[in-house]
Amino acid sequence: MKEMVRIQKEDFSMDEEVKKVMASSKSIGGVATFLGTARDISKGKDIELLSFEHYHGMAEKKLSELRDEMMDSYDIIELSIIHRVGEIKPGENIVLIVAAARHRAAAFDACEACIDELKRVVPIWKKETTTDGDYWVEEHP
Amino acid sequence: MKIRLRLFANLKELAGTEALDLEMKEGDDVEALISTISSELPALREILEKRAVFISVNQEMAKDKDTLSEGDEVGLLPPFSGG
Repeated sequence: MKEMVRIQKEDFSMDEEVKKVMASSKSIGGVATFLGTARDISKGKDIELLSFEHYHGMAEKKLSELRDEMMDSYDIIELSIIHRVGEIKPGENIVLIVAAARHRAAAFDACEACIDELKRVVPIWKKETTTDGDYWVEEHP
Repeated sequence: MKIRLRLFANLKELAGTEALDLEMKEGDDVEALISTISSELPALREILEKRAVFISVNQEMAKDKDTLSEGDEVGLLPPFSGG
């Protein structure tokens, strides 16, 4: 589905993305969203900036495969995944998952599984610039 | 045969480059390439020995015994931290 999976530098509007998903079908009865945002603290250190790097090409492909897998595994009607890259300040948006289904349970389940799986399979890396130095993050809680 | 190596995140910084071409023999596999990378880029040796990286070939996850071909793009991928 065109534009349902995107990696971009620009910020996104949650309202617009939900509307886009809602426009795909009148059978939608529930929409679950996950919005990941940048914290201002990590392991006791103040964060000044996050920098996200991705493997261009592979990351888009893995995100698209992830969407296909979720569409096959859950009883959902539409799913969109948007991940930002580049520099992101505390308080800003990082990632948005929008899962739409006939009933809420499938939407919740798909949304949670999608973000868990994204962290595991999509080649994106986060660097934290803190008051104490720069660190590449290697775990995904 | 020529293999294009791509490096990301901390590996790119450790190696001081984001890409380089490596000359390998016909029939060489991923394991052989890792050994070559350890020699060519000593800064990565410790991480490679610990196998604390994923390897991709032409943007798909690869295994040690996968055979490489001329012009393959191999990615050295640290653990992902998106989301």
